[in-house]
Amino acid sequence: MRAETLKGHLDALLLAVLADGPRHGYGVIEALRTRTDGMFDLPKGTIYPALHRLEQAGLVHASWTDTTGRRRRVYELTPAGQRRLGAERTAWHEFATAVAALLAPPGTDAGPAWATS
Amino acid sequence: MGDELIQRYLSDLDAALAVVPASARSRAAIVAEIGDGLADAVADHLDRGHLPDQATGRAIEEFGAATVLAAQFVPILATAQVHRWALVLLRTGPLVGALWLVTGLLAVSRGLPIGWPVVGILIGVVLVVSVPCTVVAVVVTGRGSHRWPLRPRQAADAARLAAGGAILGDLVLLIALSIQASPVLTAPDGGLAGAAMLASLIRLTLATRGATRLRRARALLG
Repeated sequence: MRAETLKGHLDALLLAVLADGPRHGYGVIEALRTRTDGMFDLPKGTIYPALHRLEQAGLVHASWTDTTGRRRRVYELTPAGQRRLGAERTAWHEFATAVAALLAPPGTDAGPAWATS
Repeated sequence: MGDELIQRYLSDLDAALAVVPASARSRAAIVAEIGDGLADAVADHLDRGHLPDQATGRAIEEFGAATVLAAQFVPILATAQVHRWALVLLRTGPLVGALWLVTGLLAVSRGLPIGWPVVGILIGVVLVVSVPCTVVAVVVTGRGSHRWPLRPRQAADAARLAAGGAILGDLVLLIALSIQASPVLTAPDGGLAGAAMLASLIRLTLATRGATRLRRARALLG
């Protein structure tokens, strides 16, 4: 999927990936790819600045760790990030429900009520 | 060959990030993190059966051109600069202000004619503009930034205004005191006036430096 398609949703996706626990930058990239069966294989160069932006906004916390003899920057959700993720999930659910209602073929469960009346 | 390519990529990234008046430490942290990610990407491609040079080439391709990657970090570093200088102004303001306030009140109580009404009005105007601008700049570029509708470039404008206010305020106070330096400084509590002057000189230096950095940061924020 093209990165432009996800523009506006990247922050929410990154927060969702980090909701499972702390990850380093490349771990976030891998999780995005594997959890979407390769659909969200985004340019790696876009992920790191986005993580820094989320850190600057106080939605994630970053710290350097050295557990395996290799210094890595690990990101984790802050309480503000968890709240933001909850809000993003609610907004996405409402959006997806509304779009599904409009795009589903008339007569199906997800179709608009007016299309069957 | 592969290591050389990665080192060259990281050097290019560092050079491209150097356009921001950020600390070398911030730049080094970004370069180290990207280097770590590149190492992961190379290992990933090696696991998939690519030859070392191919794996390096593919990893670099996935990260994109160093200048393009750096361009995405530039506004982040510039915003951090705005935050840093706004904090400097916010933290130094109360100390400098308190020293001058006490100096002024003591001078007035002794009836020294050092033009305090005019100075008071000028400083009042500076405070009314600078204090809100400084607070806005700190908040909008800080950890709660997602809650505010203002953008970092507007915070940079506010911080520049605050820095200008600090420079103007300190200059006014220093000039006012220099007019009557002798009676104020030779008074029994003249040391306080000296401390106020010193504090203002230090802050003037900081604010001037900050104004230059903020101008560059603002230009980078578009």
